[in-house]
Amino acid sequence: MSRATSIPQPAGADQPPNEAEAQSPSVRIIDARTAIDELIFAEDPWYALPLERQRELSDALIRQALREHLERCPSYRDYYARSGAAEPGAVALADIPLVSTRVFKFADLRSVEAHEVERWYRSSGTSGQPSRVPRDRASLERMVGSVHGSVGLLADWDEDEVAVINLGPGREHVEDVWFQYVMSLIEALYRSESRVPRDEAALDEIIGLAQSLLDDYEHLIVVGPPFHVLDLCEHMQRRGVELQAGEGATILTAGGWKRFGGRAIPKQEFRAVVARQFGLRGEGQVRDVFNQVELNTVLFECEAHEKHVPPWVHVAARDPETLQPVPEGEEGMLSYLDASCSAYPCFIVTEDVGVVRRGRCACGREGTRVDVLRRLESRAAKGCALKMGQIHANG
Amino acid sequence: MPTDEKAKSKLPSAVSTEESVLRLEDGRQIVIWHSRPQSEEPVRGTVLLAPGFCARMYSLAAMAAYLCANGFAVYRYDPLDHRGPSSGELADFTMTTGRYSMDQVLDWLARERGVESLGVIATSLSARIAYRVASERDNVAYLVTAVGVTHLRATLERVFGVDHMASPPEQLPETVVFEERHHIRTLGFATDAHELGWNPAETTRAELDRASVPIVAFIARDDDWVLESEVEEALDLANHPERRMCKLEGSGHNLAKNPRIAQAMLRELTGAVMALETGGEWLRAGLPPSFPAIEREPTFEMLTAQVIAERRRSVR
Repeated sequence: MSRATSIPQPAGADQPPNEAEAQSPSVRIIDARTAIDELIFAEDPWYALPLERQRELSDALIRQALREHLERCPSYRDYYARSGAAEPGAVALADIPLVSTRVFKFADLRSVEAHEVERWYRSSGTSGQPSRVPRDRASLERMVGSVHGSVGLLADWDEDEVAVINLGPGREHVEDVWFQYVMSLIEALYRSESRVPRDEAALDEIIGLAQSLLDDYEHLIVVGPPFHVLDLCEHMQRRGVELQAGEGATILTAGGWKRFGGRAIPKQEFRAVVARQFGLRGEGQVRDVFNQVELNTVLFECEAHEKHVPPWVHVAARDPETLQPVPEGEEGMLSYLDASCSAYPCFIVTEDVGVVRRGRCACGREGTRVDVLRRLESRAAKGCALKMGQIHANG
Repeated sequence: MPTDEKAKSKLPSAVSTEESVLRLEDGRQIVIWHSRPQSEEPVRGTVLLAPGFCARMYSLAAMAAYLCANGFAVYRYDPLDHRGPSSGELADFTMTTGRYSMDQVLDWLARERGVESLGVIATSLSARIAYRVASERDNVAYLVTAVGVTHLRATLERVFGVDHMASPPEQLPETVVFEERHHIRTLGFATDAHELGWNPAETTRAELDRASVPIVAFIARDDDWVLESEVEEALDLANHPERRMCKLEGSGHNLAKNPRIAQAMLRELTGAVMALETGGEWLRAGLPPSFPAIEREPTFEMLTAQVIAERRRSVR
């Protein structure tokens, strides 16, 4: 074995069994339940829960995560103490001290022992110094769970029915870039082919592959960053190719436009182009997902193109100067409290501007949705984020 | 040029796996996977994993990885008339086909690989088959079951919502649908289950009364298909100190659904196999109060690499 972890403790029997069972040498009770895992990996999807229940779960799970990170992460504990926030049991979710995503560019923040870190993942680094974020096994499994548990927002597919074309490198070649790593994990869920559309020959091959998989499978998912999807559509247009996917395909974008921001087109126009080139039944089959290296949960769009936020994540749009939440529906700096992450305190304020809405979505589901609009541009606001990072680093 | 990611390099995984094909006299074939530890240390023992109904060999990738990481050689197979690469269609599966497949693989292991004695780990429906096999063959040294069926008829009624076994043959629907997708022909399955005594809990109990091998049975306390009480009744723990039930809190029939519970189960199961492999008469006098802690645990990276590699092997 090259790198298997050592086992400090045998598992199980975390909870006392009932008396009769405890006395029986023939019975062993194994209780590995945790509230967060019971929700993420529940049989019934989280988005079917009523809004009030989602709020209750969110509150309880984030407080539990807060207690755990305060216990295990000394630097966050110091930061929390200096922030003047109320005791963990009494603090409002909106007042939990946030870590600027800039902190991850220069500090190794973690709540687990070094040997528990599976890998340090980094951002793609399109804007200077990349962030570095640790993840342990539980965090990674929950990230995958956040994907698996939200795929139902797209459709209810059996793994045998679906093939995926990942417009990016395969599992062997992703190394530690988080976006590519997450995309490559789709192969653990569905039969997948990974192709980097780096030139015309590659794009031709991808078109052929898409046609072949459409013939062989009930459903094809093409997943990639929007600029690669647009490259593919434009290439199809040049070649005079219009696929006839009908209801048999979903095109999933992720990762944003990054350094290709100059090519970005409005979302509706993008969906129309993609739907036309793939011959989709409707633009509802073109969806986007959101994640960033500092966030452990992947957020999926519903058919109304709203990104639903599962109840183990609390999202808020905040005033960039005061960091206080702005009224619902108003633009602000996005912050996340993500209880699914055990490796580091995933209580982050980002440099994205967005809008948060709660209540019933046009798709009919209740819950919280977030619309990520653009990167923060104001110098003052960036200064605010930077200052937070410095406070943390000095701590 | 486009990059064929599959062709370029091999995924680093926890184990190395080879495929063998067992060709039967009637022309059909059973596909067998053999996974070995990557370390140079001597193999601690050999186990055979039998997948649950409708499950494929790669669904047992994590179990194989845990066992290999702790020194075991692991064989898996896809039964005839099942969902994987062996001959036949799932629609035609019967319990006796499952029994025949397991027997053929055990014979092949003895004949071709010199495995005279081994442990069998069987999941769900295949556990019902393994209970019979363990009661009739002497090369099964120990048995570990996970959410193992003991009362077939009752389990099927819970799965399908109807007791089809109570229907006369002429009133059976041609097929039933398992997990909303898989059509199973009823007449062959029901006839076989009636005629060869697979249905009642009493036959399982009788077979287990004849079995003398140590048994560790994992059950899920929220299992809607296999009830704790049925397994307790079949195992007759009070009269068999060489048997143990491990009860998993918070899990349903799908033990892989929640990875925290799956991890705890795999640790315990691997520890159980380590204890059982030591063999000897002392095990018949009673299993140890607790199983040893496992020595090595595959990482998330290893497990996902293993799953992806095995999925690719299956698609190939």
